[in-house]
Amino acid sequence: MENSIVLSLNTIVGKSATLDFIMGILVSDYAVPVIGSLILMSLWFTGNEKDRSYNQAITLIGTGSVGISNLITSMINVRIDRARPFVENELKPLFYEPTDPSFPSNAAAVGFAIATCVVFKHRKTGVLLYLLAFGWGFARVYAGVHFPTDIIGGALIGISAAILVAAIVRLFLFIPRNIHKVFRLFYLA
Amino acid sequence: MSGFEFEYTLWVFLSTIGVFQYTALKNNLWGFVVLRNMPSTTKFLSVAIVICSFLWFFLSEDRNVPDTAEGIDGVVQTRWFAIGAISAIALLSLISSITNHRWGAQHGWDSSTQNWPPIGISWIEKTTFLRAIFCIIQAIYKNGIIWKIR
Repeated sequence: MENSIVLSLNTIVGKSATLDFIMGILVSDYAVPVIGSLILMSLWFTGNEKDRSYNQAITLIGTGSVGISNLITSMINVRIDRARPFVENELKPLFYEPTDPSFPSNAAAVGFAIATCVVFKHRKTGVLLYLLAFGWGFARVYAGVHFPTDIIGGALIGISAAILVAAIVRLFLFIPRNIHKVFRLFYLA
Repeated sequence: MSGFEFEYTLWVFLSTIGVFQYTALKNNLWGFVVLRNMPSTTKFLSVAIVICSFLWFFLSEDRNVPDTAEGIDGVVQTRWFAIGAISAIALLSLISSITNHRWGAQHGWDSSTQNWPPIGISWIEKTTFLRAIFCIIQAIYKNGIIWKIR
C-alpha cells in the first residue's frame, strides 16, 4: 500500500512545472530548516520582559530537540536499514538519491521537533511550522525519497524529542537559569 | 569553504538581517533598529531582503544536490547557519549602535546616582547595544561584585 501511495504521487512529477518548482524548494535540505531556525532565532528577541525569557527557553529547547531528534534518527538508521522508494521502484527524479536508510525521516523529525516547541506558546506560528513540516514530509514522499511511514516515524521522533528536551530543561532549570543570567548581564538575553 | 557553503552562509546572513530588523522593530528594541526614525522603510526593507535572499538562493542554481557532492550535510549546515546568523546580528548591533549613537546617549545610565544600569535585553528599547555594554563594564569596574546583580 505504501508503495502504491509513493508511485501514484510520483506520477504527478513532471506534469506541472509550477508544482515541481514549489515541491523542489519544499523538498530541499535547506528551505524548511532555515525558516524554522529563523523563527526560533526571532523568538529570542520577541515579547516583553517576562514573555521574552519564556520565548528564549523555546529557542533553546528547539535547538536542543533538533539535536536530539537527529541523534535518535541516526541511531535508528544504524539498526533499521530500509531501502529508499527509488531503489525498489522506477520513479521520476525530483531530488537527488540519498544513500542513508529511509526509515525514519530525519527531515520530518527536525521539522516536527521545531513546530512542537513553538506551538504551546505561539499557536499560529506553531501551526504554520507544523504545516511546513508536513509539507516537507509530503514533498519527500512526492519526490520518492521516503515512504509515508518514514515521515510518520520521523514526526513521532521529533515530537517526542521536543517533549523530552522540555522535560529535561524543566528538571535541571537551574542550569539554563544561571546561563540566562550571564546572557542578560551582557544584553544577549 | 566551498562555493555552495559560501552561498548558503550568505543567504542565512541576509535573511537574518531582515528577520532581526523586523523582530527588533515589532518588539520596540529600538537600539537594534538601524533606521530607527524610519519604521515603515525598515519594515519594507526587512521583508524585501528576506524574500529576495530566498529567491536568489533557490532561483540562481539547483539546490537539490547531495552532500556527497556539492551539498552541505546537517552538521556543516548548522555550523554555517550559526556563523551567518551570529555575524549578521553582531554586525547589525554594531551598525545600529553607530546610527543611534546620539539617541542612545540620551537614554544612558547615570553612574553618579545608580550603582547598576538596567540588566537584560529590554534596555535596548532605550539605548544602544554598545552603550549598554559600555555601561555594564563601567559598573563592573566600579562595583566589582557581579553576583549582586539580579
